[in-house]
Amino acid sequence: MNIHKEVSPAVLMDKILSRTVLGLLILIVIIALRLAENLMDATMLQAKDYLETILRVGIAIIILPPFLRFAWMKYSGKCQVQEDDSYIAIIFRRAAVLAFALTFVSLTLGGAMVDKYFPELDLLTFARLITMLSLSLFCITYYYLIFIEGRDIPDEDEEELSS
Amino acid sequence: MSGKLENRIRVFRAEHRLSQNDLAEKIGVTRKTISTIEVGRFVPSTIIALKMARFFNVPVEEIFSLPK
Repeated sequence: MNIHKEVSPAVLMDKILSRTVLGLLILIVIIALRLAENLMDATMLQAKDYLETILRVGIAIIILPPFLRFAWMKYSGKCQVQEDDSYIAIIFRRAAVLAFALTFVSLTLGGAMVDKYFPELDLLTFARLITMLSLSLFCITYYYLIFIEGRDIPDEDEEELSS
Repeated sequence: MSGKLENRIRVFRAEHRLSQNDLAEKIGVTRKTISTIEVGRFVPSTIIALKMARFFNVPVEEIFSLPK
């Protein structure tokens, strides 16, 4: 019996994209921790560093296996998936475009507001805030499109076929 | 991704007694992609449309059409 279930390249591609979004969610937590480090004492900072390492390893564990498998399929010529052939890939792209547009607006408005109201805010903190906002917008849009917009899409219809 | 493309995938699947998953495997996409095309949520690429037409052995216009 073959214990390694054969996964189609299309399924693998969707898995990479879904896991990338999950990885980005973890990255948002890491950036939030970095933003909060000014409020932490030495003990908390040590715990934060420890947690951050775990989260970074988590990202690698989530994303790397399907990515390496897909890369191997591509290298060995077993993969002919087109990016446009997947609903998930289209959703991913729509979320990315929207997040990019909103980030641009945030940078424009945020930059002006920071100059006026928070002139002491350092550039690194501002960059982290904008990055966190941008990634959050991307993740929210992605999950909104997947779960809310896609909620009325029917699931497998085996029973229908057998009737 | 507008819903302005009618399709008869469900009919062809029923004729061939294929589940969404079966069809997805045959043409190299995911089941989610097939289900979203069927309900008109996702307008497929030309490549997917041609793969389906080739698989069902019919012209692509028999599967996909613009509303009258």
